[in-house]
Amino acid sequence: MADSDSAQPTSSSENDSEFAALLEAELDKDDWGSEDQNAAGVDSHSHERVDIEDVDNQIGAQVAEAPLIGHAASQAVDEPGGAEGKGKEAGICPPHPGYMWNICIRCGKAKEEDDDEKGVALRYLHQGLEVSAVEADRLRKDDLQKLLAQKKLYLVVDLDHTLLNSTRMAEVPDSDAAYLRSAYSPTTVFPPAAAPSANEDDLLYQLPPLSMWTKLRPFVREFLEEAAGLFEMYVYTMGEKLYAQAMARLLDPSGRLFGERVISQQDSTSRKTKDLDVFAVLIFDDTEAVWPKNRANLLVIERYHFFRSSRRQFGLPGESLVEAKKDECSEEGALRGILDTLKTVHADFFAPRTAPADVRQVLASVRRGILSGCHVVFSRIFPQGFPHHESHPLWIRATELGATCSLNVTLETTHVVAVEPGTEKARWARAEGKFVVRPEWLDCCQLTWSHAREEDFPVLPDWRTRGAAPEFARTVDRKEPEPETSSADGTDESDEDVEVTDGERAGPSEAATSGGSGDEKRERTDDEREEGDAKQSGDARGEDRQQAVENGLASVARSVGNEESREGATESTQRTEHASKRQKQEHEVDEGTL
Amino acid sequence: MFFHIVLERTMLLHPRFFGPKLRDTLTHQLLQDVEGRCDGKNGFIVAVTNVDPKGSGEITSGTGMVKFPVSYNALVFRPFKGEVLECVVTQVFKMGFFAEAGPLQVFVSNHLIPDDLTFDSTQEPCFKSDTGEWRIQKETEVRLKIVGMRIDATNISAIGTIKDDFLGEIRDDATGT
Repeated sequence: MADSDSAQPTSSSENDSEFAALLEAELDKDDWGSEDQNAAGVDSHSHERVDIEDVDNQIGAQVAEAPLIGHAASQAVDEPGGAEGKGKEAGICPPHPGYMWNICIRCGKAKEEDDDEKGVALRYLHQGLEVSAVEADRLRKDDLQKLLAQKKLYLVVDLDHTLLNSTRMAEVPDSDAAYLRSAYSPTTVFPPAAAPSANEDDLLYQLPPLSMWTKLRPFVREFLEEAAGLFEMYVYTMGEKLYAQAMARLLDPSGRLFGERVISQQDSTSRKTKDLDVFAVLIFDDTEAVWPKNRANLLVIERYHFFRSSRRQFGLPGESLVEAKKDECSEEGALRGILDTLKTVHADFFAPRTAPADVRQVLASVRRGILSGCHVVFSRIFPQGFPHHESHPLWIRATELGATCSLNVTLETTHVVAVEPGTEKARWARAEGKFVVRPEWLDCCQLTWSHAREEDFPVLPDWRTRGAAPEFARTVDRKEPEPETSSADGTDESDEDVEVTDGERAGPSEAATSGGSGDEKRERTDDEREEGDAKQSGDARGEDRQQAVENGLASVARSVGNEESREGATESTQRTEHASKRQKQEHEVDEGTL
Repeated sequence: MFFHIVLERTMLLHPRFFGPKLRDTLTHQLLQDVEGRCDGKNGFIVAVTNVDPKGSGEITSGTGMVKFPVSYNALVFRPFKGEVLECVVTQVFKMGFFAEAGPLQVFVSNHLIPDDLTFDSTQEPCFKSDTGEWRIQKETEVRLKIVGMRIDATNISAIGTIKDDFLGEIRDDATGT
């Protein structure tokens, strides 16, 4: 086993020696049978070793999934730890560290027939490569050491619905295809050139060899570019190898960001869930369920449904982005928010501190910051006197986000999460000027990693029946250059260049623009009648809302600046229009909730 | 190692080739069939230097095809364990690198790379020494020694080492690592 002196020769700064300490502590672990543990080292690092053991147990649990690992471990006693360089010096076969084409990669002997030890197949690196569990473990540690020295972390990214959305050509109706061709300029060149050409800004690709349409999520190039500086990125997808590699080429034509680190379904050790052979630190995916063991490392992002078939696949009602002729906003879309979170976590992880950082704790503390200071009370979410309220998903979620949950309203309560507008707590909250929000507000906070605007989640009497599943990312309209429809609907919609789609779902704006259901119309007239009164209400809540309206407007105006107005209206006119509309919406909201 | 040896093969020829150019056709088809192929015993057949049909053909009953016994001289490349080869690196990744000596693919794992060369993937993936003096990346020429081979019916692949005297990156001015 390496002693501390040899483990730290390269440490020059304070931070480096901390990493060395972390590694030393990690390497000290006697999972694989190191005899001469440095007792002093263990003592001095006993605190952080708790975390590290967790990590190691986790690795152990993952590795243990591969059969017959015990066999490898028992042989591994004479394998020295990997602290000194590559630890190859004392390597004598057997045990063989791994096989390429079924011959040992160290001594060149053929794999014996009766050697049924199943190693970790690293097929994503090379088709014939397979390494023993011990070797895999050693590689893992080496990698981690190098990476930390470079001040990088691992980032595992998913492809579908996270960074892009693909669909088979057969599943794109002709009308959609026509729209896509006119509103975007799809790129059909494959494989793509090393440098994206100008019309690839649209991020829409038509891939005849795969008969696929692929739309990259807006901001994805900037996202990957920036993340590559902070993380070593792996692509891990449930897709086919061919598909995964094609998508990696699209995202990273130069091969600089991912290199050979594209792991697809065939390479995964398990079919149903994704499991990592490498000790991955941060995971970025749209599905929580596929990472049962790594929840603490996971950043969940809202799914990107660009094509029609994609929503259907998940059984979601409502319009896809193509149908709505929208796309996520590049500057304020979902990826932007996640990138900021990643940066925060990275900075936090490498910030000077006394104990070595654990990325899961850092992530949890970032998450706790989102709603810190909020005191949440639930109304009609679970029955009164429900004994296990602490284990209710919403309760857990709110706590994870840093909010304080309580059963009953107190003076400190800031938010009431309600499903009905007329409950006692909701009425109390309105009277006291507190926020009343739908449960999706918590989802939104979780997925966007930000304190979502409460105004976007009002509790209206019929919000449940309004259909579409939540969409939290900010979107922008993406129309054909020459719109064929000139109906009143069309002109009305043009005012709404930017909006939070969820806000739209909440009703009022939709009602104002496209007519909506009869119910909504009634609300609207009611609202117009009461508008004067509402305007004069100068209570705290009104001011809050006004503030929010202005905030919203600022962002609207920003985005409007990017969009060309079809009506030829000047920006200021639009702004005014928005202003009046927004105000009206807000009052409608008031009306609805009351 | 290269050998110039005499090999034999039985060619099957379609009756439509019977005629004044029969011999040419036979030669052409032999080249098509065997050049660039590999068999486990003789290694890779690099080039056929001379074709010598032996005797007359024999018509097989039923198909009408004709069997010609042919002997030919061929230049073959047969790697051996312990042989030192000069190769061009084709792919570098953290587990080691692949190199090619003509048709032979050789894998050099990081166990068999000197300890002073470490993997670096910040730019083009490579193994380099701390001083930057030595650098093995794609397209680099290396001298390596074969430590083991896998010989199939149709292919040979090898494991190599550069962890020995005079092995490693080949340079005009240097004698090796």
